[in-house]
Parts: sequence; structure tokens; C-alpha cells
Amino acid sequence: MQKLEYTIRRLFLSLVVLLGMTVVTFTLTRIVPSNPAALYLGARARPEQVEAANEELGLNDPIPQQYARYLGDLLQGDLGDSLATRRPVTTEISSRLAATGELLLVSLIIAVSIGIPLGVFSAQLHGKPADIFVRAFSIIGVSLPQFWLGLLLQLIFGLWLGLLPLASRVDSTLRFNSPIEDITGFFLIDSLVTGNWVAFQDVALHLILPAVTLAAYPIGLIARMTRATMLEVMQQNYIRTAQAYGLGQRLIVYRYALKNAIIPTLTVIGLTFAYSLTGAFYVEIIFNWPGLGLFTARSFLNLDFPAIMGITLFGASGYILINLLIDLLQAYIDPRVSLS
Amino acid sequence: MSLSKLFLGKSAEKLPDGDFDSPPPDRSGWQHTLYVIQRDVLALFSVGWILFIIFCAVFAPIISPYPEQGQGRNNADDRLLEPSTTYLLGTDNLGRDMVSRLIYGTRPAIMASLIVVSAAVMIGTPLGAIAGYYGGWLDELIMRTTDLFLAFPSLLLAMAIVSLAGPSLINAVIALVVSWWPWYTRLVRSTTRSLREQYFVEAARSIGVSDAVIIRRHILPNTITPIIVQATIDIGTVILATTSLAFLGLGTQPPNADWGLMIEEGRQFLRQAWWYSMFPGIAIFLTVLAFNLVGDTLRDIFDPKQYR
Amino acid sequence: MSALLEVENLHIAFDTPRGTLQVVNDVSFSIAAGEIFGLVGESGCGKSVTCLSILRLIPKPGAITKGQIKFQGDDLLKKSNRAMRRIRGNDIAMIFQDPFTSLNPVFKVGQQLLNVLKQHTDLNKQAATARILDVLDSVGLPDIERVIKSYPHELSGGQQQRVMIAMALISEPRLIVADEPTTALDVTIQAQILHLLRELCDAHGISVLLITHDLGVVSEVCDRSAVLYAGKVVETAPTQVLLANPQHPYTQGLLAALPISSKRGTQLQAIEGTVPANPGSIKGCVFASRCPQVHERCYDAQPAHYAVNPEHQTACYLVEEGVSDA
Repeated sequence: MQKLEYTIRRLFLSLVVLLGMTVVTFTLTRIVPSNPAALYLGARARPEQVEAANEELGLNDPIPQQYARYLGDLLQGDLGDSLATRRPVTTEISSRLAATGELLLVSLIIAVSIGIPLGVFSAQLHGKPADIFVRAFSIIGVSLPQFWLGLLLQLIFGLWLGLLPLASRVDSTLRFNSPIEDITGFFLIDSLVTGNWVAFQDVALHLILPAVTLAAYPIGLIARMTRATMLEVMQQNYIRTAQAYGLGQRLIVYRYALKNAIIPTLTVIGLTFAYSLTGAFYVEIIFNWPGLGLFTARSFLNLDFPAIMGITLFGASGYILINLLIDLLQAYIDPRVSLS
Repeated sequence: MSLSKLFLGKSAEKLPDGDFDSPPPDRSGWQHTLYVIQRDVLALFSVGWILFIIFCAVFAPIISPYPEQGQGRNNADDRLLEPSTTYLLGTDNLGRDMVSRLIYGTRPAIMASLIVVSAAVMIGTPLGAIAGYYGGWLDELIMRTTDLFLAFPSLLLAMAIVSLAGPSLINAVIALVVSWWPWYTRLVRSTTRSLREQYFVEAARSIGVSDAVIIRRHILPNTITPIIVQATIDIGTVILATTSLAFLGLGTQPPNADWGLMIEEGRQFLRQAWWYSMFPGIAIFLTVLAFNLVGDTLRDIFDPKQYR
Repeated sequence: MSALLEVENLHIAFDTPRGTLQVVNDVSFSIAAGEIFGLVGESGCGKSVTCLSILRLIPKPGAITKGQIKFQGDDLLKKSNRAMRRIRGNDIAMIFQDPFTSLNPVFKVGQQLLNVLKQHTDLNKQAATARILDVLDSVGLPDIERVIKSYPHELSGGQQQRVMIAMALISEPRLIVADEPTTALDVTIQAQILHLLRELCDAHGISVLLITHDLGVVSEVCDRSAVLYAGKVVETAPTQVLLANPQHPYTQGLLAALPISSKRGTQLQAIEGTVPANPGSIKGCVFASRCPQVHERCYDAQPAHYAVNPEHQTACYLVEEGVSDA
């Protein structure tokens, strides 16, 4: 019952923050130096047309009214139309979500499955000579510029060794040879479920470089966080008790200690996922990945303000959602979390 | 686990043979810091590298082999040359010497990161101290504001600001300050809150010491060490951020030298002139790595529970 | 009765950034089977470290530098790590000062007890559960079924300490090392826990090494006691003898400092001065700088342990010279 209350309260708080964000994005759209109506009509619009458009778009109404309309539109899922493509921004976002989502998910799985064991391992080496190497390894992850790492990997594995493809989600010939059925939009799942082995291999190969590039920073962050919390946990009295009762090292480290250490690490995982949202941006640019990041880059280049604002709001609300999920997850795992 | 046995140092309970009747050597805090750094090879290299970078930034015109090219002058005859004895790290698309460009690239990196981190600390620390110490509605107000700023991915916020105000290094710096101060507010607030509960604060209040003095004399000095650790690491992180923005064209503008900008310029020549994009990346990497390592070492030093 | 535990010439040092600190400096005592032995001293005298050393749990940067710890004749300091693990929680069990932080917060109490049983016995789940319930009952915990399913923070301080005692008893040890088991508890609960310990030990013939700073605790349940000061044992005797006829000036000072009602209205008698920061570097008697009966000789060399009678030893030249004040 307490947990339910907590959940509801957190949801409410998140909505409040979300509301605050709409105010911010709305303010930004009105601060924009150029007139949205003029942008919409194009450079050759005549003043009367601009004035008419102003009326039509409600740009002459008082600000609170404009905001109300803005909010109303948002609640109906209307983020406006992209200036570049003339299609609704929501359509532009939803059609690209799967591509970015797949990339993020795969890199998250890579990051967690390498990062946590690396952190635990590193904590156990504390003070021993090899500790230097493992520490350096995880620090390297957080010191690499992602956009450069992508280029480096492209250079080595794509150009010099010719092992992996340089860009895109799939080979362009795939559409003719063994096209992937569109079920979820996640190519890995779709091709696996339909038994399309050729496509699956191709998709996987294309995913490797971008996902690894994206995972580098999270691996480093997760490993360091896990290491730090493991070291702190290992100092705790209850670990001393476990040792005083002769419990095996494996039990102590991987269950007694890790279960305690994983709690703050979850927060970090949430953070890295959020960080990956922006990292995906660079990775998509470098690998020409047809996802949300690439679209965002083009929108900024074209000064496509509706798209920019829509994406900002979408991205920020996604971020809030993730943080909310992480908070709730923590509350459910840690029996001590005070739900007040 | 068995792998780690390969790396086992001496077992935990070595029996030191020594003269236990002699008095212990007395080392002050500063000396101890130096002592630890000097023993740690990685930290030593990191500090050395940082000093080198700062040296480059300050004396760029003097130590660059081709200073005007470093600042942007073209040298069209020598486009995209491989590393050689004339141009140690090759030349870029406009024939400029890579070494000089890299040296001049230290300037925006160091300057921007120092400004951003100092500003963030100066804004965030008092706000965090007030929020943590007084609590109540003041705390709520400040924390909700930081939540709002933190709710936006910092890159997005920075990009939005820069695209509105126009791309330049200064605007990128401003955007980053706006994105960064909430972190320090949070950090100082949580440290202040836990310090406030400590008995020595209660003791001070009970003898009538004013709030401002308590904050200044008792609380803030104890928040310095986490701030220093965080700031050191953040300098590296901000360098990553400024070069990332430059990569997108939202930071340093050509013809100025910037590591991120150079990587973007070199992207289209990756096949034929790999050095154009690769070397600036290595520079960023090494510099950020150095700051991270130093920050880590400082953290180890300041935490009395962890012995090396 | 042959001694169950014999600590001989124990030296423990800590290697800190500022130099080497001698924390325990030639400590010796022995505990017989079935007796409760008290180790008394103020904070920082080295008593906690001493009891950790028995199970060889001293955290880095500390290490045992000299001495022997014989358990049932076997020197524990020569045993391998694996052998020690079989002894810990099995033959020798430890109870810690703060039960709240000594229990794992994210595991249920029943599970933690089960893990200890699984480590040291072959009992199947049923038999193990039965044993757990049995032990929890014997330590006086009400509502055992609920306790098993509870997390540590859901129990009161007294209940947590009883759980710890249960954990200590569960593998039927010969010796329990209790590091200030009642310090973190309310006074009323303190008495209960101490009597529980006494009962259990009389019932099962278990010995207890009881560490405390509280002379009241010692007089309540300890058969014999030793007084520790700055890493050295200064006096050892049967408890009642120690309290009635203390020979060492430090022990005398401790007793005189006790605020008892019969002294009401008189000034509190404190021991002047403070504990030396680096006792390892002192040439003479460790207590010399604060001793009201000090003389020249005390600064020159450390006194050995002199016998007042076969059961009562003191490290003081006054006893050796037969000119004690008591």
C-alpha cells in the first residue's frame, strides 16, 4: 500500500515537472527571432500573407491564451508540423523511434553486461598491482569522445580491416533479397521472429560498431560506480559479520555485497541511459543511422523550429520517464527506502 | 575470481618487520597528497600531461612550429600531407600544420572548461548551501529549479540555446554554464544537509553563532573536498562537451583551432587522411583521461576510509 | 580446567599514512572453558582490535605482528585462510557492538541465519529451519515466525541483538567473542541481554570473551576480567577481587571515578591527563604520565606482570615492591 502511494506521488511530481517543461519550450518558441508564420510561409511571402497567417495561427492573441492552445494541442498529441517535411512532428518522431530505440537498447545491454562485472572485478583487485590496469580501462571509457571513437572504429574495422559495415542499419540490397517484415520496427526482433536469418546477420553486423561506440561511456560509468559502491559496501559492518561467520567469498561478494551495491548503481544506469540519448545523436550522425538523432541534427541545421521544440519536449519527457522508472525500481528493490 | 589470483599481491596479513618503538614520521596534508601522487604512476603522468597542456595553451605562439597556421592561415600548397619531418603530424585540408593546430586547440579547451567549471561552482555552491542549510520552502524552490534544468539533457539545452543565440565559443560556454550549475547545487546541498545534522553544528548554534557564520566557517570548508574532486573531473567532462559542440558546428568557429572542430573537418577525408581526425581525438582523450585520473586520485586521498 | 583460549604476547600494529601505530602491545590472557571473561578498557585501548584478532579479521592497514593465539591448543595465527573460515561462526562466533549495521539490510533475517547454517552444517532445509526456530526461541524472541521473515530494520535494537546472539549460537560454538554487545542498547535491555548470555553459557558450557568499557557490565556477568590500557594489560583477576581489591593505579582510578550515590555531594574524581597518542614509543610504563603513585623507575622500563596471588596479576612496580596503596 505504501508503495502504491509512493508511485502515485512520484507520477504526480513528474507530471508537474513535465508541465514546467512545456512552459520552457513554449517560451523558447516565442523568443525565436524569426516569425514562425513567416518561416512557415517561406521567404517570398508578402506582408499581408504573413499578417493573415499570424491571425490564423493565433499569434496575435495574448500570451496565456497562446500557451493554453499550445498545451491543448500537446494533450491531443499535436506537436505541430515540421517545416522541412510538412508532416506532423509526431509522425516524424514515431517513424524513427524504433531505429534509435533498438540502438539504445542494444548498447544498454552491452554496457550493463560488461560494466557491472568489470566493476565488481575491479573492486576486488583494489590495492593489488593489476588494479591499475582495470581502473585505467574503465576510466578510458568515460574519457573517450564518443564521436571520435565512432570514427576510430570505422577507420579500423571498416576501412582498414574491412570487417564491419561503415554505416546505415542494413545493407541497401537487403530490401530486394530478403526484406524484413515490419512488426515491431526493431529489426533484430523482426528478422528473428520471421526466421529471416540473412537479414538478422546483416542487422547484427550493422549494429555492432554504433552500439559499441555508444556503450563505451556507459561501460566506464557503470564500472566505476559499481566499483566505488562495492568498495564502500565491502567496508560495511554486515560484510564483516559475514566474514566473521566464515561465509564463502563468492557468497559475500556476489550476493551480500552486490545486492547492496546495485542500488545506487541503478541510478547511474538510468543516468547513462539518459546520457545515451544525447550520445545517440552523435553516433547516428557518424554512422548515418536513420533514427531520431539524425533527424534532430537536420532539424537544427534547417532551423526547423517546430521539429526542434517537439523533439526537445519529447526527449525531455522521455528522460523524466526513465528517471521515474528508475526511482520506482529502486523503491521496490531496496527494503529500506523510506516511502514518505 | 580465479583470474584475480593471478594478480594477487602479498597476502593481507603480511608481518612487517620494523622498529616499532620509533616515533611515526609526521606528514602534513599537503605533503601526503604529494606523497601519494608521486607513488602513483598514472597520477604522475596525468599531472605532467595537464601541466604540458596548460603550457601549450599559454605559450602557443612560441612553441608552435607554424604559429600563423595554428591561428588559421592557409597553406594551400601543402594540403593533406602525411606526417613527415616537415610536418610532424601531417597537414589538414587547408595545408595547415597539425602540430600547430593541436597546440592552438588547447586554448579553447582549457579556457572554456575553466570558465564553465568556476562559474558553475560559484553559482551552485551558495545556492546549494542555502538550500541544504535552511531547508523548507527555500530548499524546495531551489531544488525544483535544479530539477527542471537537470530534466533537460544538457546537450539539448546547450544546442537549443546556441541555435537561438548563434554558434560561437562564447555562446557554447554560456550554454554549458547554464547546464552545469545544477550539479554543484545538488552536490553542495546534499553535503550541507548531512553536515547540518552533525553535532558540531548543533553545538555552534546552541552557543548563539549566527547562521551565516556557521555556513561560512563550519559547513563550507567541509564541502570543499567533494567540490574539488568533482570540479577536477568536470574540467575533463566540459572539454568533452565543448569539443562535442564544436564538432556539431555549435562551438568554436573556423578558422580558429579546436580539437572537436578539427575532427569534424577531417571526417570527409577519413579514408585518405586519417591523421586529420585521429590526432585531435587522441588529444581530447589524453587530456580528459588525465583530469579523470587526477580527480580519482584526489578522491582516494580525501577519503580517509580507503587506504592505498 | 585447561584453557580454551590462550592469547600470548599479542602485538598488533597499524600502518597509517603518518607512520606505524602500535595498537596492541604485548597482550596476554587466557580463558577457561565455560567461563565469561571480561576485557575492560576505555575507547581506543585496543580491546576491539584484540577481539577481532582472534578471528583474524583485522582490517588493513592493521596486522598482527607478534604473538600467539591458541584455541584448544592450536595456534590460530598459523592456520590457513580456509581453516580459519571453518572456525569462524562455527567454533568461535562473534557478536558485534551495533547489531543494526552488523546485519545485512537487504536480506531477511531468516535467510541470513540460514546462510550461516548452510555454510557450516549439512542440514537440509527442513532441519535447518527447525534449528533456526529453536535458536530464536532460546534467545527469547517473541513471534518467531514474523522475525524470520523480517528485515533487520523492522526489528528493535534489542531484538536485533538477540538475532545476532542466535546467529552466534546456531552452530554450537565453544567460544563467543562479544564486542560491547550492550553498549548500543537501552539500559533495561542491557540487563536482559547480559543475563541471556549468562544463561546460555551456563546451559551449554560456552565461554564468552566480553569486551566492554562499563565496569557495571563486568561486575554483572564476568567471572574473571582483565583491564586494558593503551594496548597493554595492566591487571588481571577474578572480577569480584578486581573490583574489591584493585592493585593497579589505573584500575583504582577507574573505580574511584564511578559516580556512585554514596559519594553524592563530593567532587568527581577523574584520572588526570589523556591516553598517549603513540604508546608504542613510550619506554617506560604506559600509565606513568598519569599515575598518582609514579616514581622514577616507572619511566625507565616497562614493568612485567607481577603476581599479587596466583589468580591476580598486575603490571606495576608497586606490587613488585610490595608497597601498593590498597
